[in-house]
Amino acid sequence: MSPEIDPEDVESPASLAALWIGVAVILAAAVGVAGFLLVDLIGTTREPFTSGEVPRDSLLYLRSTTRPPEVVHLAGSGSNLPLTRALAEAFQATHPGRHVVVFDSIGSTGGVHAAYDDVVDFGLVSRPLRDSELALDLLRVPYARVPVVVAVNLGVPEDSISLAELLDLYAGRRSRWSDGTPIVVIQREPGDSSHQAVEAVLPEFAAINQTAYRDARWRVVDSDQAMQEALSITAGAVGLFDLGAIVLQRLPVKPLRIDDIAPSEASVQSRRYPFSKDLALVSVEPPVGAPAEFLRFIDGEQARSLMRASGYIPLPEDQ
Amino acid sequence: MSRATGPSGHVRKDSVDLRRYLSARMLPLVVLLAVLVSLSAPLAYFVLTVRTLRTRAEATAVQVASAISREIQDRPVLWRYDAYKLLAHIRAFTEETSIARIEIVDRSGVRVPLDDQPLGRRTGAEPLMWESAPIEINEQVVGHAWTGVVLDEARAGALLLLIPFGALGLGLASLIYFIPGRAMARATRRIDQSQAALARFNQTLEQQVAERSSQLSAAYTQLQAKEERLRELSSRALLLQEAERRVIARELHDSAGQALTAIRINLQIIAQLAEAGARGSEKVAGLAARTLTIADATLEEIRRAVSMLGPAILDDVGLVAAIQRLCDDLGERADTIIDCELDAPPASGLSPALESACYRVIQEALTNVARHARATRVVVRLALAPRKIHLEVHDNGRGFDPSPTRPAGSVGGRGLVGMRERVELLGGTLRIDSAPDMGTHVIVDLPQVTLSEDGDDTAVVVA
Repeated sequence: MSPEIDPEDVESPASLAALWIGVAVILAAAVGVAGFLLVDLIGTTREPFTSGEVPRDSLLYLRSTTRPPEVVHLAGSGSNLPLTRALAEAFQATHPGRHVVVFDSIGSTGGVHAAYDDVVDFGLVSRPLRDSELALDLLRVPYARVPVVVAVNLGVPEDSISLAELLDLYAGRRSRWSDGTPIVVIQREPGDSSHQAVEAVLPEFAAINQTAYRDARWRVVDSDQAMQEALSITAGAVGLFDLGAIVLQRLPVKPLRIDDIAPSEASVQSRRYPFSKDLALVSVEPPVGAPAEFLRFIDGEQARSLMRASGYIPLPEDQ
Repeated sequence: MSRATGPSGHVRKDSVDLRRYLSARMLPLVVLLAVLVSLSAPLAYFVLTVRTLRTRAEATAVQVASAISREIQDRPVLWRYDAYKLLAHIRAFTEETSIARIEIVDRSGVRVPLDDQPLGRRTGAEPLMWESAPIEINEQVVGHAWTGVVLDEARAGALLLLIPFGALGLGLASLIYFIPGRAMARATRRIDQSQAALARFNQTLEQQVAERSSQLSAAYTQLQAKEERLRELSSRALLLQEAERRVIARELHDSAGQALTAIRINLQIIAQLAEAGARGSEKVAGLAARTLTIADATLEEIRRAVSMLGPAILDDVGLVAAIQRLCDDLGERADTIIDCELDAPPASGLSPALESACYRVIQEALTNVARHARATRVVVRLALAPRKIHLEVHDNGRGFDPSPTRPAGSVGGRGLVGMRERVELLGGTLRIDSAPDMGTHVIVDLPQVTLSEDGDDTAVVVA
């Protein structure tokens, strides 16, 4: 027969409500415990720092040294280093008691900020200043223009390349040189001044370059030193490099002509050779003392001759 | 819940809706089960993934702090300006990880701006989970490397797990909810069917009880009627008995008394005559002869009266022989052929009341034949069955109209009434088939039962 269930109990909303309340309490307790554990596990999601000004006495910066007045400190783009070091050497030879320290590459951006922070006397820049950098109201002194060349390993049989072929190379549409050697493209990091110089002339190159970065199609190096080493020892390697660095350092790489136009002061000045970039010094204010002497030196005839002999075009251009 | 009124008019409770009861109480538990099953695995996955991410973030922070420490020592001051190389170095730690941001922070808690772009593979405003490691130079903490981890991977994985486990939870909950519910519904249905059958049975039973009660009521009414009839018969018997006694007394007074008085007078006369000598001898002889006649008549009267009081012959010779004598007597007194068919042993084994009733009925019937029927042939039958006595007296006489419209007190009326009363008093039936010039057929059936508990119905049928 029927179990012993009181019909009044069946219809009683109180017992059912109590059951629902019990379930809700259990669920709430479970959610509460889980939430507490998660909060404890994840911790705060707020940024555990501020974005204010770093104290000048920060231990992160304490290794800085005071600059002697007879020493000129320069730091910045790697593209500037070969020429600047040659100029520094010549400056020291003609200016006894003066010293020039050219630090390893910290990039154009680093050079701008180091100059702005007055960590160095001059920042070395190999690209146009960005808007944010222009806002710093720095003194910019262009001193040389250098052709940007498509440099290849010495084993590559080609001597010239067209702009279309250049795009094909970086887009991966051409995979072998004329002798069948596989083409190995060496890219610089995004923002590199040589890439910017090409992109200024070939807007398609910028898109192809970005696609290559995104697809990790080519090997990317982040310094001129790494680029010159890669081009020197990698069969079929090709990359953008400075003609002045090749000449000045006598690197074992071959610059290709662009549409049979060889990079030279004349071809660059006439814009028949399309790719070039300007090297400049930046400082917070007009230099005095040794830095001012250095600035005058690089604008002198000795320095301009040295530039021309090294594949650079002295700036300002001759009238 | 509904209530219904049963056939007998009282209110009964319907069976409880067990399915509804069970469903109402299972639903919260099923919801709890569904939620717990659905959320447990995704939550556990989320927790474990978060712990993994935290460990990964901590390891990355340690590596970044170590790299920054080397950079600071290798290139004092200028290290922070070589952002790209430093960042490229740091990004090597964040490839294929959930590290969204890496920040170098001074001891004062101020972030060192290394680049315009965040140090990490992702940007966005989503909340990050932060881990840090100290940057130490010569065992002195100069800052901290912080790594921010996005929880997208953990969240996406947990949400992905939520789909199958949610389905699992819902499936389990549905099974647990519906299977007992269906079973309970079947059980409820069977219970309802059983209750319906029971209700029908109760209704039938109540009808049967009502019918039986009606039958008992009718039987009780009949019994009361019979008791009333029995009381009437008893009263009638008493009256008959009293009347019979008066008749006997009158008979004795009128006949035997008169006769004995005459005999006494005659005997006085005879004594006087005897004293007178021989001259009176002739008168004595005559008187003696008359006295003898009177004595004979008186004896006959007394015999007849005794016979009316009780058939002593039954005690002497038994029922069968007594009936046979009745038949013989009728045959001797009237010019009638009598067939006496007696199917009974000489010792009938009947109670005295039954024997007396049988005897009286046949005696009365034969007396009526002798007085009124003018029959030439009479058939008397007696048959004894184990539980029944059957009597018949059939004559071919002139018959009569036995309808109740006959005037009361007409010839033979009281005799027939007495016969009927005797028979009914013993629980039997009497039927008289007769019509003018068609003879008379008296049929009596008596049960072989006794009316009194001691089996002696003599008092009942003494009349």
